[in-house]
Amino acid sequence: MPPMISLDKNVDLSEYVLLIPSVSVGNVPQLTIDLLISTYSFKKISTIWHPAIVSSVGGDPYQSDRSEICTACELHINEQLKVAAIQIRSTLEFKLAQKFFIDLKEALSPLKLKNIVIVSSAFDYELRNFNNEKFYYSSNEKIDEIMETNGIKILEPNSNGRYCINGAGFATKLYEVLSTQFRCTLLVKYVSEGDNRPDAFTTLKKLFAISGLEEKTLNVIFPSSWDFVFGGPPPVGIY
Amino acid sequence: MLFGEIVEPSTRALIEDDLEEYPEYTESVPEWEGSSETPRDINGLLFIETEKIGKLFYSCVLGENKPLSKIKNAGIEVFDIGNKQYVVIFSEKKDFTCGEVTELFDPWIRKAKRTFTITSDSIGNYQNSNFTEKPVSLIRTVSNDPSKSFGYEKLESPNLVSGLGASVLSYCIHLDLKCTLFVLYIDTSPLGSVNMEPLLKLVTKLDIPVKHTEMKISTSSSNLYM
Repeated sequence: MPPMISLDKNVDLSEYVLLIPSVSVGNVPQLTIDLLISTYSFKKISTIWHPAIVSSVGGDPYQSDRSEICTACELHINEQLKVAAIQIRSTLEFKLAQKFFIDLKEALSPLKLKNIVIVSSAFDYELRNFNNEKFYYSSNEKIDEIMETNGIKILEPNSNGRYCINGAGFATKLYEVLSTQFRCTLLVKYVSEGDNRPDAFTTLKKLFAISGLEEKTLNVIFPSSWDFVFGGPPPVGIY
Repeated sequence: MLFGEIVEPSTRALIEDDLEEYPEYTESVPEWEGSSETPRDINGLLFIETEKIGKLFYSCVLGENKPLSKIKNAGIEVFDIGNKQYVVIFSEKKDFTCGEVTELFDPWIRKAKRTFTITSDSIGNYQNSNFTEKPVSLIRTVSNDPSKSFGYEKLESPNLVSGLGASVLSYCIHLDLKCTLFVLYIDTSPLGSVNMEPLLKLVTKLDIPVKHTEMKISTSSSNLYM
């Protein structure tokens, strides 16, 4: 079978921060990566193939006039920022999910990444104790200070040592697998479902703050695929 | 709603997955019936899915044609329709995911001179700001080979297609092979000469001979009458 990620030989991702969104509540992580890609003009360098990924295809979500095809899982980079982002638009097949995590870990190993941030959201009503911001994290890096400065609290594991984050999708399981080999952080935002575009915006700002990256002063650019957040226009026949 | 009643949102479905442990992967073994060999030459390879498209192909293209082979536990039937063209019909998801089915056909896809997939979806799911009145049916395409789009309009963002067709196209893009996906957006009414006309035209453009047959019109599966 083909390699999961097929990169050109000239691409060097050493010392890059890799962002991986988990398919979770309100698709906030996907929206965040969408914002990042469109605002900072990331370029697609590879599709990612794995039988665990529920395939989906469509037109270019960032510029509707382009003929580029969008697949369910792709790798984008920005060379100036030294940030790579996996955009995953569909869920994982349950029986193959564990294999996907292990295969992803193997595929990422030779890339010599600086660290990985898994971005996730979770059900707001499951959060019992919170102050102003609802960002939580877990990390195998010593980043307590920067997290505290940015108002991000540490996730507390259950009595069995595992994390229980309702609505966060595969985030905790992927974190468990990747943190054995990479410097890895799991960032979770508790959200309510609805119009989650503001959540994506604040997650993007938070990602920049904790990654030590310089935030772009320009306005955030919304991808063209966000035009139909509430569906298409109503049919004339209903009036 | 009663006082104190707990109403779980639809996305509660996500919770079960989050808390459950993912199982260790065990590879499914395909149960081939007939030849599992890849043909020496493949001029055209066409993947068909969804009940509506399958129904039309069985009655208007395949007729009495017997399948060349089947994969019983994958819901797959393969037909040789002559001129080194093969039709793969995916009827239901069994032991294999769409990605696994795609990988089973890896040697076929690599050998095929041209690969097409046809799928369908409800026209209610089609999003386009220019349509205030949607037609009975229409075809859109997603392709990395514009010369094989036969003049059909490309599918606009944010519409997405999933299923085996999407999986085959994704696989081809990953391998840098050419493939074209056609999606028929259709309303819920039974198949008839009006809503199937665009699809029959497409089949003809793909150089697949169409047989003239009569189709039994079945009533809607829904009991809701407007």
